[in-house]
Amino acid sequence: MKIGYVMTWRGVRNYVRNPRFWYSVRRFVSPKGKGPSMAADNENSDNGDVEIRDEGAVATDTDRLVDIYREMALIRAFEEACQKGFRQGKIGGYLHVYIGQEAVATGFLEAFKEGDKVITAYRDHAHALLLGADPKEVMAELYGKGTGMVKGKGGSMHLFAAEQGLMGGYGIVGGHIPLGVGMAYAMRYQETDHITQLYLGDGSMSQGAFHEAANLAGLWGKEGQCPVVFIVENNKYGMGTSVERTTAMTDLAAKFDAYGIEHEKVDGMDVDAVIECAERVTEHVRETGQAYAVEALTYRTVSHGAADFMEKYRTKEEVNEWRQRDPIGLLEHKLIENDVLDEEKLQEIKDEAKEKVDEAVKFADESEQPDLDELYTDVYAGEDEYMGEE
Amino acid sequence: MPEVIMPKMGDAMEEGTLLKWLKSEGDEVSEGDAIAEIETDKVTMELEAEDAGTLAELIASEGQDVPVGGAIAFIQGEGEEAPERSSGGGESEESEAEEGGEDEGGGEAQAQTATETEESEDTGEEEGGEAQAGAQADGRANGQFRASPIVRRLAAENDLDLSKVEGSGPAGRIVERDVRAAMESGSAQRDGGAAEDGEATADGGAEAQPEQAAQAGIQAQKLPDPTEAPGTTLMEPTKMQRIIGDRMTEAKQHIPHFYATVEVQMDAAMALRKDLNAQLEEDGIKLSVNDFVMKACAVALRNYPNLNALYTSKGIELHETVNMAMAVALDAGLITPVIKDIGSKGLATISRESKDLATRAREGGLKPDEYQGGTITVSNMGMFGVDSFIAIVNPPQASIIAVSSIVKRPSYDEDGEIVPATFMKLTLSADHRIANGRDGALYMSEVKKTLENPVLLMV
Amino acid sequence: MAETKTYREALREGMVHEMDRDESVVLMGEDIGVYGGTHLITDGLYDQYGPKRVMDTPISEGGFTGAAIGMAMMGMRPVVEMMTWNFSFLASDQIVQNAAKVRYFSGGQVEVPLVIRGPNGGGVQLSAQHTHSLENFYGHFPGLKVVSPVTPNDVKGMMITAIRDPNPVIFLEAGALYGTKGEVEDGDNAVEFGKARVAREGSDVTLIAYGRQVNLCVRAADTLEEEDDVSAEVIDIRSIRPFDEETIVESVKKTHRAVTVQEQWRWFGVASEVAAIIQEQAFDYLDAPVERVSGAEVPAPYARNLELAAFPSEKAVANAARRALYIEEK
Repeated sequence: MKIGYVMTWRGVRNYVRNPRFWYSVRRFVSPKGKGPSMAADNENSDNGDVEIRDEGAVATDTDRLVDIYREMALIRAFEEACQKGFRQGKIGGYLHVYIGQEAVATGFLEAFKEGDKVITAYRDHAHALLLGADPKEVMAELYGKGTGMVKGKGGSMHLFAAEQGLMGGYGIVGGHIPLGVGMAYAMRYQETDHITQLYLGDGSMSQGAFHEAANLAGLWGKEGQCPVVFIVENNKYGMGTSVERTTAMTDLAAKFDAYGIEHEKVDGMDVDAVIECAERVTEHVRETGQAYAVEALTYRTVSHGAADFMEKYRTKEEVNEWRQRDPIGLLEHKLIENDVLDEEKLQEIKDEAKEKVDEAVKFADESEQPDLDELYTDVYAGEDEYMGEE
Repeated sequence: MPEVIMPKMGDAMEEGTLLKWLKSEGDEVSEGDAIAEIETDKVTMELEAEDAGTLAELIASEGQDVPVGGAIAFIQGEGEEAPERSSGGGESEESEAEEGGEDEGGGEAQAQTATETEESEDTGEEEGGEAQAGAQADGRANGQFRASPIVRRLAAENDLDLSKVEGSGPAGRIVERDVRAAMESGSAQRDGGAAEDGEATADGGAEAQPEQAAQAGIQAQKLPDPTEAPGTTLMEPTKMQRIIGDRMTEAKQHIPHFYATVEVQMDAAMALRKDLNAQLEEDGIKLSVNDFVMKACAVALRNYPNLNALYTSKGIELHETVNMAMAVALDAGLITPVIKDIGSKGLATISRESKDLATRAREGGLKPDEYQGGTITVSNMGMFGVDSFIAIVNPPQASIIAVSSIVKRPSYDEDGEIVPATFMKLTLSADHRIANGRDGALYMSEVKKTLENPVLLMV
Repeated sequence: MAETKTYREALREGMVHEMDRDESVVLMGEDIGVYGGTHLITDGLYDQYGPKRVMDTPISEGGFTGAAIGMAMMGMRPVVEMMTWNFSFLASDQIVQNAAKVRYFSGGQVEVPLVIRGPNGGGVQLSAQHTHSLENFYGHFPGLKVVSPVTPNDVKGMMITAIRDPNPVIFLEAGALYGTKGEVEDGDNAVEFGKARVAREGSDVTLIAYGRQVNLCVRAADTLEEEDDVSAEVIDIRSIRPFDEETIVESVKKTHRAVTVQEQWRWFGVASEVAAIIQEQAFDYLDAPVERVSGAEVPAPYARNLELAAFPSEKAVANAARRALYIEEK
C-alpha cells in the first residue's frame, strides 16, 4: 500500500479510519511500538490543506538528518528527565515539556542564522538546547541553581541565551508576541538582515496581544520593516481546551489574512517538511522584510504541564494515534528506510543523549543554590542596580 | 469584664503601690466595697470597687508598683467569662519568652547551626525585655499623658518631667509648643539623674548630650557607689522620699529664692490665745500658736497678692483666695494638707481643721483634694526648739514661711526698762521671679504687726 | 542661560535633544506624527525626523508598547506616547509583566531602555475613564522607574535622563499644565532621578507632593504665611521610584510636621507611602500625625463643581497643615 505524496487533512482522517491503513502502518512499526501514523480527527473541515509527505521521502541531506536526529533525541531525553525531576520534587513551579513537538523548533532552527533572534512562550527548553545552550545550565536552571542559565531567577518558563539569539521564554500566553514584532522592527531600523523567529501556540491566538502585534507586523512589514516569522505551534489544545472550542475559525494560518500577512501550513510532525518550509520562508522574510506566518500542525503527546487531566479533554485513543506519528519515530523510520542508520545505531544515539542528560542532571543536582545576594541583582540596569531596601 | 485599674490620684502621680489586698480572688464585691489599699507618693487610701461582681483575678501582687491606668484586678459580672490574658505582671511574660526560646530551639534549630540557634535565643530574650518596657511606656502614656514623639524626644534630651507639662493638643496631647514653653520657663525640669524611665535612652539621646547640658544647665549627677563599709545599711529611698527629693532639688535649683526674717514679740498674741482658749474650753477647742501665725500670714496677704501666687507655664497666677498649705512631718517624709480659703475662716475653724488634717495626714488618710491646690505654705518647727530656719519654696507657690520656737528673754520696753518678753522668728522664702525683696520685707512686717496687735486678726 | 518656555515646549526640547544626540531614539504613539500629537507635544517632529523615527501607531496600546519593549531589548531607545495614561491599562500587561521584569528573569541578559510618557491626572473635566493618577500603580513594581515632573525645567531635564536611562521609565506628565511657563535651562540640563526638589523653603510644616499638586501646595503655603504666620516648606517629590527619602526626612526633622498631598485616591497611595517613611525614619521628630490630603474615593466626576470637590484643594491642604500645627482650621 502506498500513501500519496499530497493529502488533505480530510484525506488523512479517512485514511486513519480505514482498516487497510493500519494494516499498512504495521509494517513500519518499530520494535518500541513507535511508527508512522496520521492525524486524529479534525472535526472542523475548515482547517485547510496541509502537505503530508510520504513517510519514506527525504528531502533533506541524509547526514544532516543524523545530526537532527541527535538533537531531537537529546530534547526528548532532556524532557523526560525533566518530568522525572519534577516528580522527585527537584523542579518547582510549572513545567511544560516539548514531547511530541520536537520537529517544529528543530526544523525551524535549522534555518536560524547568526544574528537572528528567537522568542517563544513558556515551552522553551527545546529552543534553548537547539540554540546551543549547554544542557547542564538549562537543567541547573530548572533545578533552581546558581549555575542555571538565568542564575536561578527565571526557571523553566524563562530561559534566555541572548547572545546565541534566544530572547526568552515568557509566561503570559500571547504576551511575548508584541516583543517579537518590535525586535523585528529593530533589526531593519538597525539596518541588518537578521530576522526574528516568533513562536506562539494556538491558544495565544485568541489574545488581544496577538492581534495587535500581527496588525503591527503586517503594517510595518508592508514597508519592509518587520522581518518576523510567526511560527504557530498548533498542538490542538490550549491547555485542556481544543482549538475548536476556542474559535469558530479554526484555520489559524488564515487569521493572518486579516493583517495582510502571507501564510502557509506545515506538517509539524515531519522534521524534513519543517526544514524545507523553514528555509524557504526565512529566506523570503530576510529578503523582503515582510512578516510571514507558518502554522505547524503538531501534537503534544504528554500533559500540558507536568500533570493535568488528559482524559478529560482528549481520549487515550487520540493520543495513541498521534504517538504513532511521533516526530522522532517518524524520523527513525525515514533513517531506516533510506538505509542511513540501523536500529543499533539509533539506539546508540539515544544512549548518548541519555548519557548527556544524565550528566546535566548530575550537574544540576550537585550545583549550589544561587547566592542570596543574587536576590537583589538584575532588577535594574546601570549603576543604581538596586533601589529598594535589602 | 470591668478592669480595676490603678487610679490617678494626683497630677504628678505616675504609679502607685498596691499595699494590701482587702479581698481575695473569688470574693463577691459590691459597688463601693474597699478591695485594696493603695499607696501613692502622697497618700494611702482604700480602693473601692466601681462594679459589682466576683473578684475574678488579682493581677497585681502586694507590694507591686502599678502604673496609673494599669489593671490590678478584674471584676467578673454575672455570666461573664474570665479574660484570656492572665496578667500584666512580669511572671507570665517571662514564661512566654521562655516558650519562644524553646520553640526556636526545638523547631528551626534542627535545620540551623548551633550558633544560629544561640542567636535566636538571644533575640528572643531581647524581645521579651522590649515587650516589658513597651508595656510600661504604654501604661504611662494611656494613664498619664499623651505626647507627640518629638515631645518625648525633647523630654528625654532635656530631662523634662512631662507630667508637669499641660498639653494643649487634642485630648490633652502635649505638643511641641507646650514643651518649648516649659523648657523656657524651666517648669518641667526633672531633677538630676532621673533617666530611669527609659525615655532618656530614646534615639538621639546620646548625641543630644551637649544640647541637654546647654539647655538644662546641669549634668546628670554622677552618684558614688555605696561604700558597703561595716556598720552601714543601704536603704532604698521611699517613693515619698524620691518625690520630695526631686521636687525640692528642682525648687532649690531653679527658683531664685530670697529670704526675709522678722522677729515678732508674741506676748499680746499669747495673752489673747490664753483668753480665747479659756472661753473655748467648753467646746473642746484649743488654739495653737500656729493657728495664730497662719491666720496672720493670711490676713497680711491682702495687700501683697503677688506673694499668694503660682508660677505657671503661662505666667504668674495671682490668687484672691488664700489656700494655706501646712507642712506636716510624717515618719516617711512630709505632706502639706491645705486649709482652703483660710482668710474667711475664724481661728476656731482653722484650729479644728488644722488638727483634723494633721491627724489624718499622719494616719495616711488624706484625700487628694485635701493636699492639693495650696497657694502659700507655712512650715512650723517651733515645737522642735529651733531658733530659726529657712524653708524651700514649694513650687509652683511663690512663698513659704518658716516658723520657729517662741523664746522668752529680757527685752527693753517703751520706757527703756528691761522686762521679760516672748519672741518668735518668722522667715519668708519667696520666688524672686514673682516678688521682689521689698514686697517680701513689707509683707513680713505686716505679719509682724498683725501678730503683735492680734485684734487685727479678728477684723 | 535660561529662557522662559512652556511645559510642552520644554518636554519637546528634551526629546529633540536626545534624538539629535542618539540615532537609536525613536518616538511612537497614536497620532504623534502627521497629526502632531493630541497635545501637540511632538508637533513638527514628523517633518524633522521622518516616519521611521516618529512612528504613528494604530490604536493598540498593548501592541505598540510591547513592540517598543522588543525594540528596546534590541538596543533601540523608544519613547512611547500614551495619548493619556488612562489608556495604559491596555498596555499594563506589557509594562508590568515584560518591561519591568524581563531583566530580572533573564538573569540580567537583557535591558529595556524604554520611556513611556503622557499626560497623567485630571482637572479638565474628562470624567471617570479619562482621569487617573497612576504613580502608585506603576510605582509599585520593582524594575520600573517612575517620575512626575511639574516644572518646565524639570520636564526637559527629566526627559533627557529618562531617555538615557537603561531601564523602563514611566514618565507621568502634568497634563493640565502643558501650557504653563517657566525658566528652562538651555542644552543638556539632565535632572538626576531620585532627588526631590525643595519648591519652597519653610520651617514649621512640610507639604509634600508631586505633579500639579506641588503648585497647589505652594499656594497653600502662601496662604498659611499670610493668614497664620506659618512658614511651610514645599517638597516636590518628582521622582516616585527611585524615591528620595532623605530630603523628606531631613525636612520633617526640621519642621516636625508633615502633610502629604496627592490627586490620586487615598488608599494605598504615594501619600501613604510617604507617611510611612516619615514615621519610620523621623518618628522622634514628629509633633503631630502625618496628614494625608487625597482625592475623593469616587470615580472622577464630570461636572466642574463635583470635579473640584473630588480633588485636593488649597483649602484642604492649608487646613491639614493647620491640624498638624494644632491651630484652628479655616
